[in-house]
Amino acid sequence: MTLAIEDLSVSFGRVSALDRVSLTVAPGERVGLVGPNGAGKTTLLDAISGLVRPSRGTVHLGATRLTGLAPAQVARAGVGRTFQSPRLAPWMTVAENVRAGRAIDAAPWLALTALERRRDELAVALTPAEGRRLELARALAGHPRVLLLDEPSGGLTAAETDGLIGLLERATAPDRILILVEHKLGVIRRFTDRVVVLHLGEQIFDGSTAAMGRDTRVLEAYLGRAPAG
Amino acid sequence: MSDYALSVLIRIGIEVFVALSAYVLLLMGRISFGQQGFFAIGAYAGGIATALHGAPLAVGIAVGGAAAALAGLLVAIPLAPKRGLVFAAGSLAFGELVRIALLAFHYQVPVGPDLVGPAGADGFRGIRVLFTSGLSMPAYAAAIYVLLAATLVASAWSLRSRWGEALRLIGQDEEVAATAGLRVAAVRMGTVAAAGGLAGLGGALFAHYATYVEPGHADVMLGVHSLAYGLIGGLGTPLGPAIGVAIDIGILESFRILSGYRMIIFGGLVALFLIVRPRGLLDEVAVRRLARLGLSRWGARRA
Repeated sequence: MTLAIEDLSVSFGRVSALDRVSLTVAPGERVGLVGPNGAGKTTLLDAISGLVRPSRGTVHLGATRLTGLAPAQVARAGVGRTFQSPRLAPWMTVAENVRAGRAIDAAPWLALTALERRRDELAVALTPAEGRRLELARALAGHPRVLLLDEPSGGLTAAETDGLIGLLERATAPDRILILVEHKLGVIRRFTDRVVVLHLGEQIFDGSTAAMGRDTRVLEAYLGRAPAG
Repeated sequence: MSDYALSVLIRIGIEVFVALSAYVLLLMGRISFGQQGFFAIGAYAGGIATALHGAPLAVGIAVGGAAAALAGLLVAIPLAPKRGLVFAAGSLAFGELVRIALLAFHYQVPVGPDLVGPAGADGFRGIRVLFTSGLSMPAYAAAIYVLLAATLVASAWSLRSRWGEALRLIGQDEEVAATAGLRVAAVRMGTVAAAGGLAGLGGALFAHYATYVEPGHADVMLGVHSLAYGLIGGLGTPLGPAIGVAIDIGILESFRILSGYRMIIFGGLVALFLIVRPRGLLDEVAVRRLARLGLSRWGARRA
């Protein structure tokens, strides 16, 4: 099922957080979403998952119009997500966090994320890396067609990041769409085949990772100027 | 057992129902100052069923719980989506609305030579089915505790069920619950209604014990105490609010030497717990530790 974002804008008061972004993602495609702080990456994920209302534009998943649906309806239509800083229910057990009140067997997801031994512990006792994995397990357990990951390697060491990428590789279903917000370009290069760059709410690049490094607008956005020559 | 000790036991048993109702809402992240409203609805509805319409005691108790649960469903429509201060203020307004409505509520019918039924500020006298049915006070106390034990077991089970997981997740992060695809609105409404029903059961049990209820029984302090019981006793188990009630009514109120200082000690306890142990004595961590301890002892005995 294709994810089609058309002409999507989000404003907070007079501040435009996202300005007419259009993006079509085919089934199975992995898209990296990058940009400096405040570029609108998280806002785009929030708009897809129904947490913020766009001021214009639409999001469709296949024939289903996601725009205007409540977050729970968007989730049931097949969109799963994680958050920039992991959001867990601290006073529920690890297994309960994976199930999240759904009719789901937590065991395979705990095994996948190497959390079986922690299944009966409260989430408050987890390390940051375990928390990231738990959030991912919760998102995967919903069998999403579209998985939105907001900086999954944030706060992780290089080794932990490697582990996370391995986990993502193992967890990817063949026709699942994956949109990955990430600051670490190494993660983007290793895991995605297409990059979209946002800057001040505008989409300034959409192409391959290799082409991104040569794009004048991207370099300007990141470095403040175009490279000499 | 002395009559006094029995009356303390009965009061503790009844109050635990109201404390449980506030506790369930606390787990869903809602601070209610209005559970006394459901308590009063249960008391009046149960009393009307038995004293005015001749229903048996058990039916009267069930009617009290059902009426309060229905009221909870209605209150949930505007209030359940709200959190924080808005829910707290809204629930307080509901509690006061019930109290003031009862001041104006007249519904009396002739039963034998007397007019029986709610008479506004004069209250509702003559809820006598407990005495006409020949049930002794110790037997009634036993019945209250059997019902309470069943309710505690059912609560513990429901809070571990899918529905309980959903309501606890909503209490800890409602946005996450929504993005996991939960039917958040339905869980919220069901929980507010169930909490209303629990307080209503307490009200109906009280009306038949006291034989008399009045609008003053929907006093805001009942709601405030019920809320505090969970915060003191702990949010990790439905036994938490029961322990809170036992500390307050069983110790602070019942021992004459302490009773003059009850509100000071109780208020101090609440403040102390909020600072030192914000999720109460038996919080989730303590409950897990106790469970592990119990399991390892059990394992050692079997080995």
